[in-house]
Amino acid sequence: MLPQQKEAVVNLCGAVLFSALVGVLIPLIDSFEWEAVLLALVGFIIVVWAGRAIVGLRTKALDERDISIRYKTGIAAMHGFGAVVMVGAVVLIFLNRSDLLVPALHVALLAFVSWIAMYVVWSVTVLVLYRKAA
Amino acid sequence: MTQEELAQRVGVTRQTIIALEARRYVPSLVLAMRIARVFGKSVEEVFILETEERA
Repeated sequence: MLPQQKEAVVNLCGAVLFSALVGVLIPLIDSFEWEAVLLALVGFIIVVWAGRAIVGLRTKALDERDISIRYKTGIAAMHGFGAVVMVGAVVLIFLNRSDLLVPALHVALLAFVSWIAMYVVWSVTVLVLYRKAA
Repeated sequence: MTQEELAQRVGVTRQTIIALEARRYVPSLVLAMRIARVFGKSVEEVFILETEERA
């Protein structure tokens, strides 16, 4: 398995872990919900950053096929990120249209979900492209 | 020559050579020329343009 594929697997594991953490543990915390979501987001970013170092990924060492896959998956990830942000923002606005104020927890969740979605799309696309094409 | 040896000589991974052989990856012109140079042949002798077949 190439370093970029290993990075994708680490990202997916981190996404599953922190999504489960937010989904299961956050409802149990009453007093500082949005802070906990942002902490989970920071934790995920650290896992992504550390994962890249652990698998030994050096972007300068990638060959042209790896770089081609990285560009394509980057584009797919940005589309996924944008789609989640757009749909999430519209849903939040409609959910809170009577108050004209979006709760901090919802904003934090939107940031968390969109960031996770970006890396999930990136990771899945990397794994698929390495298997099927470039 | 093994895939690994060819990969090392042209500066890519073995997986890229495998993808080339399986027609899952179209190389850049630079890589195609490097591979052709390794075999001492022209690019046209190593790679075939399949445009007519697909059309």
